[in-house]
Amino acid sequence: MIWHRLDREKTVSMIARVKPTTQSITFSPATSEAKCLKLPFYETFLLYRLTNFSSLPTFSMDFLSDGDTYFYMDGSDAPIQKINAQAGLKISKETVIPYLNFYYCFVRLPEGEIILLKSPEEAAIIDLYDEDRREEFGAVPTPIDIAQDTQTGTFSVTAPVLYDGSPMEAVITVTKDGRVTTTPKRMLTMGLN
Amino acid sequence: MNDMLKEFGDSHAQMAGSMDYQHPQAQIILDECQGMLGKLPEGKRLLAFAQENGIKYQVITGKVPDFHISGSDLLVLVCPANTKAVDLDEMACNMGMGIRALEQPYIGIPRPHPGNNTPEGIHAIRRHFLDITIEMCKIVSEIYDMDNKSKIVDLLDKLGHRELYEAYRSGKSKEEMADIYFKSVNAV
Repeated sequence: MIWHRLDREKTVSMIARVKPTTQSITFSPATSEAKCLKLPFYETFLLYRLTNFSSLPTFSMDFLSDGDTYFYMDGSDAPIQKINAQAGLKISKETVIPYLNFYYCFVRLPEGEIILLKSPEEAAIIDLYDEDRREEFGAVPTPIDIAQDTQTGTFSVTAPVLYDGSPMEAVITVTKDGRVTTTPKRMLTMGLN
Repeated sequence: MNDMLKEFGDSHAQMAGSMDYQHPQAQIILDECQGMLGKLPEGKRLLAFAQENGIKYQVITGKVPDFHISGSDLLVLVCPANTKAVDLDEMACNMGMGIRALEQPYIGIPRPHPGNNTPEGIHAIRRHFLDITIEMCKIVSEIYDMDNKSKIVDLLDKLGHRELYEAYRSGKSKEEMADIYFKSVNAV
């Protein structure tokens, strides 16, 4: 998945659409960068990121947008559910893992940080604050089992996850409309599973 | 967080264009963070500085707990919409670091200007981050001493600052901590 930088005209347009009504957060086209990323589970909505490089630390805001309406990623799953209901979610065996990687990256859950691990061993070296790793939406866990309920369309994914700091095997369900439930099943001992 | 759990209903998708991104529980978040900092020696000092110098606060929603400073007197705290998912210690630590960032010009650490790639500009950025990171170790250390909870220490570890934290705890000099810090960030 590759981010595409918006040209100046589109950056100016995006800033105009999303700028806060207060003056405390400002984005100038000269010191800001806007970029977008196609997501395999949405037809018309892309992930947009606006970053202000003139502040330290640099400050970014993320949105889901069809280029017209922008929904702010506020740490809850409300914007995701809104888009799923409004624009539809293409959920399949091919897109369910990218969707989960995206979901866990953008939704702060009461049970703590959750990351799909590429392998149980990755738990020992993963950096929770490595944005590049968090945004590897195409990363596929090993081992993995993906099953679909033919009646409801709900996917059930069994995979290694980092669950609030601990490596666990979890069963994750994803309904057709994109609702996610994560159930930890057992602790993983790195390298012995 | 504690009282932040109260009166928290379903969050609603926020459509940009006519919004200020304010967190619906902004005042509760501020109260709880200030309450936590008020229990710590360094936290008390920072809050007193903020009060004396008219520091203003704003809380906006966002993906992860964070802070951002605007101008010379505004601290913008970023807090996920669902506060049940937020650790008060982490949020209070962000508030403390943000106040420290605003305090820096008062104690001879000039405000850095990103994009200034002169040796002086790069030195200012390095000095800024070193000071903020040591401040984080100080606040985390005081939180740990207060309640022996290791979650906030684990967070600092995950950020890659365990060695710096241990150096702070063992009373190493600023020069020694600077060596450790720059070795760790240069290794990334």
